[in-house]
Amino acid sequence: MWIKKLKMGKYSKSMFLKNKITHKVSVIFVLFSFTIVPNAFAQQMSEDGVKTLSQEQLDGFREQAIKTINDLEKFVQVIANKKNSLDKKNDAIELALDLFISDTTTIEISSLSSNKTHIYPIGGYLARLKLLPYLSVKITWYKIYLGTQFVKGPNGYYYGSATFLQKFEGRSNNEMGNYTDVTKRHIIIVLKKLDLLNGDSKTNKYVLKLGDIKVEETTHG
Amino acid sequence: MKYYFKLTFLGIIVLSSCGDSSKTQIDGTQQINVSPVFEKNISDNPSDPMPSAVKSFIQPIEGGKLPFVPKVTFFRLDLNKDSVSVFEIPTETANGLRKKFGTYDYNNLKDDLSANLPTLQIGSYLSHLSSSKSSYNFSTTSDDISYTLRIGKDSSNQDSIIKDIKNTLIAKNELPKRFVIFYDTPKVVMEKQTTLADTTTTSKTSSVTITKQTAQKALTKKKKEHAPTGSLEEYFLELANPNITYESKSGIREKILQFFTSPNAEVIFVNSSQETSTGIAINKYVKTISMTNRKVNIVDKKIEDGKIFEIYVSEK
Repeated sequence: MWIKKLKMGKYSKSMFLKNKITHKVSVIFVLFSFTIVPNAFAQQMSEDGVKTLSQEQLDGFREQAIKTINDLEKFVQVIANKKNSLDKKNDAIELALDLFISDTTTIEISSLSSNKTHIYPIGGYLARLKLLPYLSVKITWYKIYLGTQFVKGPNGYYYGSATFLQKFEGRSNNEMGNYTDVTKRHIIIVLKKLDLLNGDSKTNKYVLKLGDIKVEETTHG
Repeated sequence: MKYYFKLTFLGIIVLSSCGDSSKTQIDGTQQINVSPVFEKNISDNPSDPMPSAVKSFIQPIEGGKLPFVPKVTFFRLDLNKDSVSVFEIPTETANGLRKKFGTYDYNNLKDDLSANLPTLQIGSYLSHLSSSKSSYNFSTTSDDISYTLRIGKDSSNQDSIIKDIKNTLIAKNELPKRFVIFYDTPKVVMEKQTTLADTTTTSKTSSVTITKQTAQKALTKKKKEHAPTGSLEEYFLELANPNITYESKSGIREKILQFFTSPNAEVIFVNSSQETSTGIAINKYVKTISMTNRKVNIVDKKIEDGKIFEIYVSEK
């Protein structure tokens, strides 16, 4: 069972449905964003006076995106590692949460023992990651690839994505046994637009944040 | 938004509700009146992290023990009605105590809180609660001094005591089973010892606030200890040293922060000659570097009054 991999507490039905709806809406929105011709859209936004990032700037953010995903991997490793102090793990949780665009960001969890996946708020996921009932946990991300170019959405944000493989290894000395799987994950990358007021003038600034993390497939590796 | 939630909060405690928890005794000669500052905890932003008072409350004392098993109440207000979530530590023994009196382990509290997040459905807040980072945070600016007190029970004399982050005894509560929660700079008012009846009538008029002096003394000492003697570049190099543990790097982080106007000074990344940002402040960035051990190259910095308010970095 998936619980074997990630022991989660009970979740209310309403909260689950809410997350499910949010998930669907976000997927539809991202798909919608990718179907729009980027240049035409950028031009429209420029006419509205909203800053459009240059290709060079977007390249800079692509580089930053890889670093940010690497940071998240490091934080996840720190949180899961039973040898780390609680203080260090909690700092890692806090730092990891800062990488995401909002508290409502979700992560999809899968398991080899179930065809179903489950979606959880990232904060809850990380908080429980440190409590996994294994003797030791090792999580490794590899083959990190940035997907498409960033595409500007109707809200002025830019959206991109990346995929990576996650190897999970949990070791136990009780009846739970050991567990290993490899999950291909897909993560949304968002360039969030911040409006800054400077006297009477208004300027835009973009910051890179991570969005929902999905499961594409889970195998024995 | 019709149902706009407002997280005010109050976290509170006390297994025994007897008496006035703001009255404490020190040195047997003077009475200290300690008032929690709750108004600063009010937040109308649901995404705000856990109020500091709660963080303060769960700070471990010496040995990582909490004196009492707490009950924490969260108030979430909407326009129509109050919605209250009450969190109580699961109890395995009588009298509301999970462990025997005085030995509730801080780690147990954290784990218990984490385990109950889904039930409360306020995970984003409580997940912050389990952070102990604020316990040893000592944030200062030129005109604002704040620190978080650790609150606990002294195992030697079984009295509730209050210590500052330097382990200095601030106040001693001679009435057992009682908690006082502080947020930021405690308002400590020292008065002449009076009878209980006198206190109610004279405490406000005859009190002399010593908060500022106490905090200032601590600040001076703190500044002296963490006064940077090396360069910012050197300290970043130390942060990236994989042979130094994360915990041991806390002093280096403190020294780095001394170079900045505020812990919230912005970090801008320079990638492919382009400036990018993740919205991370310097206080978080130094922790990130402490964990990832990445080498930082300082590209540029914007300075105000001799301190950096924006730093441009590239990473190797």
